Amino acid sequence: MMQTLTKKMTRWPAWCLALTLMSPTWAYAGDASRLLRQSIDQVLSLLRDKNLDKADRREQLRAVIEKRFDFQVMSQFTLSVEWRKATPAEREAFVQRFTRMVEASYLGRLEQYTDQKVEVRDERERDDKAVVNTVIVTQNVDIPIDYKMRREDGDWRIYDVQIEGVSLVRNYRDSYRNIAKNEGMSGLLARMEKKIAELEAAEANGDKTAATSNNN
Amino acid sequence: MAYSETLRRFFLIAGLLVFVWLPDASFAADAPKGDAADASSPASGASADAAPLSFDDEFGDEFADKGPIISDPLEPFNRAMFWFNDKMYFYLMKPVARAYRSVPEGVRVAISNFFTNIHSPVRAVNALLQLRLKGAVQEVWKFSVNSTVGVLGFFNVTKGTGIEGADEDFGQTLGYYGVGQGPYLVLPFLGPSSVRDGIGMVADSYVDPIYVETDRTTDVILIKGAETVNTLSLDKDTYEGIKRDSLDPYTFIKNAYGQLRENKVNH
Repeated sequence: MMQTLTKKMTRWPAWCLALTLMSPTWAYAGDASRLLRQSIDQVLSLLRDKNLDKADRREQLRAVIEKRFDFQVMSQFTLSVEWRKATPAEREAFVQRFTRMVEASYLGRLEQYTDQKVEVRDERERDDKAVVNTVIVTQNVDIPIDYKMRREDGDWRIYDVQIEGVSLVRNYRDSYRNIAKNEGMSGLLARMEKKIAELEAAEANGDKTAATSNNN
Repeated sequence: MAYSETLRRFFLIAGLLVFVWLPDASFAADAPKGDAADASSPASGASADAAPLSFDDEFGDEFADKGPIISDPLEPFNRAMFWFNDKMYFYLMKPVARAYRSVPEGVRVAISNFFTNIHSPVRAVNALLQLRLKGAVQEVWKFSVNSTVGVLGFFNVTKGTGIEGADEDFGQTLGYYGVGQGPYLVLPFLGPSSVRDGIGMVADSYVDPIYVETDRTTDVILIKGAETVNTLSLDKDTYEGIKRDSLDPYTFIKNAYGQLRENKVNH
């Protein structure tokens, strides 16, 4: 049915144009994936840009990522029950550290694939939610990455990333909530701080495997 | 093509026969439904006010509190095995893989293709057991073409033809018939698994040509080791990344494994 419809539409370009202009959904159709594509391209071109110095690159990358990711909502989902128990100050501290950690791991992942192609394949939207399917195409495997996005004030922002069906938020949740339960929010925040210091040290050394040699 | 048409018919008949032979096959349809009902009922309460979002099915309760995705009563044992595997990784497998990276990438990709291809019977049989006829036929087709035109599977000539094949194993087949993952299980050398998937691995070894065609255990270990080293040489330090990024790598990997497997069963 869809096919015959498109056939008809191509037969009458004027009709087609009129329809699209009249359609109120036109402005929104595919917005989520378009915005996501933009952000991914920005990140990739920043990562590939050899002329940028390190600090500049990182700052610009963070700006792009913080524009597209909704770390507030991600934090909320990650802590869930613990979020409700936390004080506003703890929440703020958590969001700030969580942002830093997700940025680091997301960038770390993308950095491995700067020479590969990222394809945006499909988008399903419903009301203010969208799932955008992307694939990193490498020589021997394709890595599917789905972005869950929600619309707020006309802008689409990511609130979960699923790599091969594994949800980042759901994954973080298990470990974070365990720690929060056993060691309290202060314990969790302290551990995050320590992790961030490690990540920053590794970044400064430019050695990605440095942080991993301290086996635990 | 007439050839693929014949294959299609063969598998259709074979599939129907399996269906007749399995009087219990009908409960397969109920299994996922039961799961879904299970998952959605305790969902709403706990995270309701943490979540300003609520919507159904794929847009749905993915963040609702479902408890841990996989149980871990064997945690002390698992953590010990995790520690052991971690050492094996950093002090044995990874150094070997790193040295082996001097082999041109194209060659390593070809070897990876060979291994993927030779495991095809496992995927085909399990697709068939799950009555996924299209997947089974595609696997047979891919196996035939890649083993011949693709020179023993070293060249993945069906890549990009849109024939996806089936990513199935016996652990997933058990899951398809309603068997839960069971306790999480970290196996020495083999890594994250579950009681269900461990049983699945043993079952699959009766179909996998590498096990079937190799008599000596030491040969199997050597071949498996070679496959692992080849895979690691192509891997972009995933494990290092996880260890670097996460507060608790053990829990991170356990959860990721549970999600990955659940996702594969429900796909």
